[in-house]
Amino acid sequence: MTEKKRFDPARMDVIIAILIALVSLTTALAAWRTNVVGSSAADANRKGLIDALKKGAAQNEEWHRVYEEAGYASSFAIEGAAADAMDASQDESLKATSKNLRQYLLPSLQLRSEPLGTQEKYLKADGTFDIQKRLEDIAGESPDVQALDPAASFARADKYASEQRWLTVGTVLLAISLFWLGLSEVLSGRGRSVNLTLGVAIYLVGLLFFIIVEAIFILGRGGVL
Amino acid sequence: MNETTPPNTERFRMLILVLTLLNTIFAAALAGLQVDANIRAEHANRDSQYYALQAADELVRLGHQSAYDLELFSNTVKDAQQSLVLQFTALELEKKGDKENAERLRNQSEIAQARSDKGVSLSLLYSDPRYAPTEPDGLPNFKAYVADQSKNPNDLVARQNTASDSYHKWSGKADSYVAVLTTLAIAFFLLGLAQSSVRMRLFFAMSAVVVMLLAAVWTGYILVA
Repeated sequence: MTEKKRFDPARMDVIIAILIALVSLTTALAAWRTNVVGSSAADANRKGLIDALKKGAAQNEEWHRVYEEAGYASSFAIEGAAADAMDASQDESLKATSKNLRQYLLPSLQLRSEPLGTQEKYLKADGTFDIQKRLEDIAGESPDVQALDPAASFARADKYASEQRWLTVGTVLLAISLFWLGLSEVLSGRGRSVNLTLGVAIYLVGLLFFIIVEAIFILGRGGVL
Repeated sequence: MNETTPPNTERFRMLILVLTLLNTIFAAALAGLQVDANIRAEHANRDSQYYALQAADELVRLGHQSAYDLELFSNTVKDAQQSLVLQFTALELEKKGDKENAERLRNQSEIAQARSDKGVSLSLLYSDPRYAPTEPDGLPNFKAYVADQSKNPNDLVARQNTASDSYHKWSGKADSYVAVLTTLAIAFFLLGLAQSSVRMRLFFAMSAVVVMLLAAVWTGYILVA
């Protein structure tokens, strides 16, 4: 095959058209993949916000529970002190009142205050209740809520967003190559070969860049797409 | 004339090709900036929502804690005042010779005082050195208590506002980049016309250059805004 025949314009038209089809397909796939990565970032963000909402709702319930216990615990302690004062007096009616308080009121208050008001570990040295410790213990009772980690989801979203940025650069390179290949299709002579060379070179650079970015980020996620 | 026209035409065609290349690179860079601005806007939007959730949760916690602390404090003060009134009345009755009732009221006073003392020992407002009264019968430092309690929610709201402002800024930039990209599409159209038309080539090419310059100035303004 002679050099002239190999670069026959009609033949080149077909070759460039096939190249354009190939680059178009690659660009479409790259754009799709870039969007998938963007969607993954949005999903991770959404999950993070949902987790934060769930965790916040659970924490609010825990605060409510602990302060309810604290309210009963303080009432129990205060009424207990009042009963002690009644016992210390010489008034028999007060002693009888104290007996009834201890029999009817204090046990129910103590029951409602459990365990904050009844366990030594929740009593601080200064006499107040260790609300924080009780909260930690309550949180430990719900490992599923504890496992919710919005920050981890947000960090994952940030990584996807970073990948999306770089993939966009790759996709833009592929789109630029398509433009040059398009020019080579409509031009002839030296203009055609210059545009064709530029188009193919930018396409290969874009493709390589895209593959490298994908490989780095996928490996960074431990193989997760 | 015939001898000079072909080189001019060739030169103009090259110029248009270079302009098209510049426009393509400009559009590609702008597309990248637009994606980046969008990602930043999404990031700030997410942070804004997250901080809003955290601030709301913190306010709920604050509500529970303040309700507990202030109820305990008010009951303590009420019991102390009740004890004083009973003591005072007992003294009055004693002066009048009603020793039996005076003794009864004194007992009641001691019971109220026992309640108050227990409340004081349980109250954060009396046990925490940051808020505890500096004088024996003084009041707790409510200013410091309120300032400490509202610090976290205020910080979160400040962060939420910053994130919200950031979201508006980047979202606005992303929208503006889309507008500039649309302007560049007009430049592409004009450059295409310049390639196909011989008589109006210079006019279309110059129009495209004006549009590109306008887009460049606009992009610069968006970048520094």
